[in-house]
Amino acid sequence: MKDFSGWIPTRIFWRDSRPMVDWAYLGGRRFTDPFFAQTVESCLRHPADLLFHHQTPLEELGEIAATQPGLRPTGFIFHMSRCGSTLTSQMLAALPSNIMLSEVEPIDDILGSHFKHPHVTVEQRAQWLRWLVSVLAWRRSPAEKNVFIKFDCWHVMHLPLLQCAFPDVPWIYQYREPVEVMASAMKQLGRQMIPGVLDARMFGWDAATVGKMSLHEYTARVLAKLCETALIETRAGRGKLLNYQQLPAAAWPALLKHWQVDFSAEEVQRMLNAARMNAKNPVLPFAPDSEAKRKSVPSELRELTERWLDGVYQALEAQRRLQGLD
Amino acid sequence: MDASKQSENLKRFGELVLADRTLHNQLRAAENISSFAGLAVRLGAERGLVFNEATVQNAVQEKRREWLERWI
Repeated sequence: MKDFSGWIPTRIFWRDSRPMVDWAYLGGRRFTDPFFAQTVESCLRHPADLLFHHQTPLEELGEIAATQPGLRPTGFIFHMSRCGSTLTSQMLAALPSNIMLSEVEPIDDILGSHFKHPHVTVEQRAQWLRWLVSVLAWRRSPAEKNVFIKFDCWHVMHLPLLQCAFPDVPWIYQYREPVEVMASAMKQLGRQMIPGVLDARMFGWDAATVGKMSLHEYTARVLAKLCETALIETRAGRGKLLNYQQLPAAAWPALLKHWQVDFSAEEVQRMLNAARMNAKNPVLPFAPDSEAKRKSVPSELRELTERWLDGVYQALEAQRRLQGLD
Repeated sequence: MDASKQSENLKRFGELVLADRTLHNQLRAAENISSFAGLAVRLGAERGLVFNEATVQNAVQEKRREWLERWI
């Protein structure tokens, strides 16, 4: 078998009806960028790495993972987007003992593979995810002992599958006052907020239903679907809720306890220090923006937020008080 | 030598690179696309695989385009 040490899977693609894996050479890099794609981008900066990289059948990933299994995932982070989840992941990434995988594209490729390839079964997707995560979670330095995965916001719709694939991994769902999320969304649209980019079936809609929605209504209703799914799953007792307002200091000890990880006082302080910086652009200091976001929202957006999101937000808050992180 | 034969040779050279970490690291030492293309041409020729710098540069550009268009 080829030697894949130092390499990471970067994409799942299909060739001649067969799922394949694209690899990139990670070398000695750690996953410290806010997003997985940024780390991959840096891996591909040199022409030698862009031009010459492995491509293997997905089945081979199973053999590789069996031969060299990675660390067991420590904790999962789901979120509604624009709610401080990158802050959480950057705090974890601050420690060399944590492998922080943030919005990993090949995970998204697998989770949504059945939409483009209807013959793909739930069992196959679960198995592929276990192989992929196992290889991504390889211990690449002796310090590494924990693995955290922050998913894309829409991956909460796949929570039942993810829990089937990783039943013992404690997870959280992070959320924020909806009007602040809507304000952020309108300032800079994410993939999940543009009608037609994500498969409408993920939300139980068809293309015609989506076609009748305005951009703002679509955003509000997608966010509502994410929060409703998280609410159902947390009510089933499988995860914990975390409000943006609890970050960083208030939630941190309870969060680490939930993930069953133990850090020294110095390590905790290092993570809290990371929270002083802007999570998505760590060269800048963090500046609170909730007030500005609330003020910037036009009345149409406020009405959509009230109609689609306020109810589920209040339900999440009630659930959090009942069993969330304190 | 025609372009398709050169591309085929570059592809075969890539297979050798992926099987040989020393060779891959040698190529990684190139400081820019131009010196990389020149180095790849020389190391390929040493192994009997002939292609020119333009073939290498076009292949790099094609890979970059594939990466940027992966969501389309």
